[in-house]
Amino acid sequence: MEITPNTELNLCGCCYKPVNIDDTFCEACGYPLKGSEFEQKEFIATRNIKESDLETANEKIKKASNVLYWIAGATAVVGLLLFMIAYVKDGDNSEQVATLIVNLVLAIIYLALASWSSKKPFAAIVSGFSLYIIVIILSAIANPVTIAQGIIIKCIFIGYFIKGIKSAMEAEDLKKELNIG
Amino acid sequence: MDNLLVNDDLSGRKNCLQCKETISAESKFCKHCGGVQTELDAVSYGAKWAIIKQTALFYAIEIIICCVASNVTFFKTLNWSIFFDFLFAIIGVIFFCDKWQANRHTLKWPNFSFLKVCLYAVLAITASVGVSYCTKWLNHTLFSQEMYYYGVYASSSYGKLLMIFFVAVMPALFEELAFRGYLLQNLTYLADSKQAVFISAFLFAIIHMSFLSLFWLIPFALFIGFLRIKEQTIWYGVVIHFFFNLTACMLELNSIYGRYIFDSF
Repeated sequence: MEITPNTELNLCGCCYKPVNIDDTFCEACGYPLKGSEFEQKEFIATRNIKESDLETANEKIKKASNVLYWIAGATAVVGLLLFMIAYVKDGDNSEQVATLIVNLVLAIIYLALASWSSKKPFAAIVSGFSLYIIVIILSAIANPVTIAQGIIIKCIFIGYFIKGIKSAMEAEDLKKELNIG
Repeated sequence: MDNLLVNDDLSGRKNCLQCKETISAESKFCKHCGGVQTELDAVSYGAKWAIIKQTALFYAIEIIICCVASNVTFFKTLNWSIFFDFLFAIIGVIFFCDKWQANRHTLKWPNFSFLKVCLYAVLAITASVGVSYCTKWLNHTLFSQEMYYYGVYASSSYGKLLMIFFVAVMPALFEELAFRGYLLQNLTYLADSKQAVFISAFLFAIIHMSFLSLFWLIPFALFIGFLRIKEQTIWYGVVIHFFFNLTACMLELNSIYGRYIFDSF
């Protein structure tokens, strides 16, 4: 019997990309082209679960990223308000300008991290979370009352950050398993 | 690995990471075994979470000590300063030794090069001179204040030596051990090396609690972090850190004592 190379193209049963009929697995998604019906269904079910988990993880990352945007906005607005109040009260002085600059630079750092979180969520969220905690501790040392101010919002933000960090790790693993991104 | 790259370049083919069969360079999965063509993490998700919790504990302890030491007036004395410096060092050593097997390779110095040591020392001295003058000018212009390390040590008759020991020697050894040794090593299990270096640099910079210093501490820590990953040792970082801080100390002493700087050593 003469053996000829088979170049006939079929479509993958999972990702619908063209596959060679000789291949045992799809080169684009790993679907078992020559597996049993059970193996093929199990593969699709597992892949769907992973894709769904990735989507959920990305949503949580997005929420943590939004928290960074909120903190950036709040830092800038509070900085400007404090500056304006102090300016009306005491007139121009270098201490107020310095505080305003610190708040604006902090806001820019949060903003940069929030924007970067779409590309490198783990690094951005961990860094933003650490900065947020340090600012809370420093404010508490300067004025202990501040730790109780907006405590519920702070707890919610911290919760989103922790979920974001967990999800970023999970998403990284899932992307590698699915070989996407 | 180099061999695989050569294969890719020449024929657009590579070997499967799992079964080693020849497959197309563009394949995301092996057509023979179905294996994924990315390096999967050796560390499980559960183990990663345990690492992150331990790393967070280390950093939380460091933050609290740092905030208290640098912001509570009661602790701004020589004795307390020495106490906190030793506390930092002990905490760094404890966490480093807790994962001794994973971290000990960073204490080795493979491919030691005297030329590199000299080069990095010169680079650190030059950078320190630039940073010292810039921060002094910015502090004066923006915040109308001067920052001095020597203030705490001035009361002691061995003030200059104590300053050099606690500002140049101790941080160079123990900050490198804690941040580039323990912290960066842990982060490499959680993320790719670039992200790990960035996080360790950012955490290192913000723990110094100095707003202006952020602008030079982040690039400084990024450079040492990448060097630690590239050279697989913390010692080049120790050299850079030591010469950087030593230069800052000498410049400060010079501004105070001028040409009598070495008289009372």
